[in-house]
Amino acid sequence: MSKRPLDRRWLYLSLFFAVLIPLLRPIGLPIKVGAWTKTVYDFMDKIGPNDRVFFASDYGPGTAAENKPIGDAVAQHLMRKRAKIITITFTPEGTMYSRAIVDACVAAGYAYGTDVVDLGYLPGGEVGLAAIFSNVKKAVPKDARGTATDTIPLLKGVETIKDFKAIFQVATGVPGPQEYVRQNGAYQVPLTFGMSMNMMTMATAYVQAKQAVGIVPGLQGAAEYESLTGKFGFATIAMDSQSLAYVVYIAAMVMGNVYYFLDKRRGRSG
Amino acid sequence: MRREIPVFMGSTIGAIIIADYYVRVPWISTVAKELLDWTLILSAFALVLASINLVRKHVKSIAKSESTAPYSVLLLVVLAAFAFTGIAVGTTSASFRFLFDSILEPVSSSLMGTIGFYFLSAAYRTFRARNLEATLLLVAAVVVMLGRSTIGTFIWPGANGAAEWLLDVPNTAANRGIIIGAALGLVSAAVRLLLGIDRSYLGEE
Amino acid sequence: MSTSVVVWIAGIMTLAAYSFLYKDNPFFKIAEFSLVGAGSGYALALGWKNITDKLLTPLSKGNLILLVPAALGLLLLTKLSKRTAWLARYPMAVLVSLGASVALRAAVRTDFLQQIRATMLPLNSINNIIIVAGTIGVVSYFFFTLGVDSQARGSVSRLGRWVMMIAFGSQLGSAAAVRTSLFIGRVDFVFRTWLGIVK
Repeated sequence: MSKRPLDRRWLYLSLFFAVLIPLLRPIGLPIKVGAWTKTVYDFMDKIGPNDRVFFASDYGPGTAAENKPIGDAVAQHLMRKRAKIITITFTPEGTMYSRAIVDACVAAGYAYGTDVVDLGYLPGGEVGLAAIFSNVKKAVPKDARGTATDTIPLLKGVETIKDFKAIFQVATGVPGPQEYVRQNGAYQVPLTFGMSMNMMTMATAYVQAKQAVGIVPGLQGAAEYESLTGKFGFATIAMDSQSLAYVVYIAAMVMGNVYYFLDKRRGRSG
Repeated sequence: MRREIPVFMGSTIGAIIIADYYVRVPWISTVAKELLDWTLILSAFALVLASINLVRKHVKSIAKSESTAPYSVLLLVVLAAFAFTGIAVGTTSASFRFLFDSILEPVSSSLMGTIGFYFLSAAYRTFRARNLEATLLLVAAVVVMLGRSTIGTFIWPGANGAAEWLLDVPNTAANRGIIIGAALGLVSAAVRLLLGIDRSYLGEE
Repeated sequence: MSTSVVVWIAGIMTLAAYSFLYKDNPFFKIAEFSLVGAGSGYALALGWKNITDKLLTPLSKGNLILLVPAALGLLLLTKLSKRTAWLARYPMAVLVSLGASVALRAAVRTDFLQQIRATMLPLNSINNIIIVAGTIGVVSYFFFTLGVDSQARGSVSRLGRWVMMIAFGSQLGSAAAVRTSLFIGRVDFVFRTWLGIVK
C-alpha cells in the first residue's frame, strides 16, 4: 500500500473545525423543505383539539441529538393544534424524553391528566406494542407518575389503539417502523414516524405501500419541520455544521479514491 | 421431559396468540391478552436478571483483583446510585434526573458520536470505487449526503430531489425485497421454533 | 461558562469519552464503565417499577392469577446458577414463543402480502418499472435453491445486486448524517452550554 500523506488525526481535526466554526459564525444557508417532512406536517396540521395522539419516544441519549429535535418540533405543532398527547416509550432511557414532552406541554398550558398523559416505559419491545395496542389500560395499569390509568380522564373510554387519531413514533432502533407497522396492521391507525436517517432508508418501503403516512427524516427533517412551524431550535442551528461535515466526508472519499486510482496507474497494489 | 414440557408450552402459547389474530373467539382473546400481559412482567424480570448478572460478573472481577477491578468498583457504585435513586426516590425525581443528565446522557451520546470519526477514517482509507457496484454505492452515498444538507442544495439545487428520488425509488425497491425476504425467514424461523424443531433457546441438555 | 454541577460533570464525561480518539486511557475507561453501570442501574429501576405496577400491586389487591407470571419470573432468575438454570426453560419458552408468534402472525400480512401488493404497480412510468424490477431482482438475489444455474435468473439477480448497492449507498450516506448530528450535539453542549464560547 502506498504512503498516504494525510494522517487520520488531521481528518479528525478538520471534522471538528467543520462542526465548530459554523456554530461560532453561522453561515445561514437556506433550508429547503422536502416532500417527506411536508407530508407529515400536512397530516399533523389536520389533527384537531380533541384528537388523541399516541406519541412514542423510542430513543435513548445515544441518538437524542438527532431524534429529540424531531420530537420537539412535532410536539410543538401538536400543542399549537391543542391535540391530546399520550406519551410512552418502549426504550428504558426514552422515559426522560417522554417526560420532556410532557413538561413542555404543561408549560404551554396543558393540564396533566386531561390534555396530556405520560404512560412511562413498557418493556417487551414488539410484545409490549401488541399488548398496549390491544388493551391500553391493561398493558399500562399505572402512568409514569403512579396514577391508575383507570382514573385518568384523558384515557376514559380508551380501550385499544383504535381510540387514537394517530400514532407518532420517534425511532432509532427496536421497536422501530417494522414492529409498529406489523402490530398496527390489524388496527390501521394512521402511522407517522420521525427517525434517524439510517433507519429512514428502511422505512420508505412502508410509506410507499401506504402502511405509514410519512417520515420526518433525521436532523435535516427536524430543521425543515422547525421552519414550517416557525419555532426554531437546535436542528436549525446545526444545519450549517452538518453541511460542512458532509463536505469533509465527501472530500475524504474523493481524496482516498484519487490516491487509489493514482496508485493503480503506477502499477502498485491496493 | 425437561425439554418436552417447555416446548409444549411454547407451541400452545404460540397457537393461542396466532389464533387470536385471525379468529374472533372471546375466550381465546381473553387468554391471549392475559398472556401478553404476563410477558411484559417476564420482560421486567429479564431486566432485573441482566442487572444481577452484571453485578455478579464485576464482583467476581473485584474479588480476583483483576486489572479492571477499580473500574468495576466504579461501575457498581454508579449502578447502585441509579438503582437506589430510581427505586427509593423515584424515576421521576430530580435526583434521578441529575444522574441521567450528568452521566448517562453525555457519555452515551459522546460514544455514539465517536463513530463519525471512524466513519471519516474509513471513507478516506477504504471506500474505493473498485468496480461498478462499489461505484454505485459511493455515488448514492454522495448524492444522499449532498441532498440532505443545506450546502448541497445550495451548490446543486437538484440535490434534494435527487436524494429523495434515490430514497423513494431504488432504495425502496431494495428494502422491499429485503423486507419480503426477511419476512419469509421470520416465518420459517418462527414456525420451527413453535413446532419445537428449533430448541436452541432451551439451552444445553 | 456554566456554574451548574450537572453541566460540569457532563462536560468532563464528554471529554473523557472523546479521549479515546487519541488512545485508550483511564479517563475513557471511567466514562465507559460509568455508562455500563448507569445503563444497567437505570434499567433495573424501571424493571422494578414495572414489576411493582403490573405484578405486586394487583397481587396485593387479590388478582391471584398473577401468581403464575410471578412464579415464572422467579424461575427466570434461576438462570444465575448452572445447577438450576434448567428451570428457566419454562419462562424462556413463554418469552420466546410469545415474541415469535406476535411477530409471525402480523408479518405474513404486513411484511409479505401488503408489500407484494404494493409492488403490483402499473408499468407506465420509469419509477414504477424500477420499483417492480428492483424488488424482483433483490428477492431473486436471495434465492439460493431454485434455478441457480439459470442465466436469466443470474441477470435478474445482478440487477438486484445493483439496486441493493444503491440502497446501501443511501444507508451509508444516511449513517454519516446520524453520526455527524450526534457529534454536533456534543460540540454544541461543550462550547455553548458548558464553556459559553458559542452564544
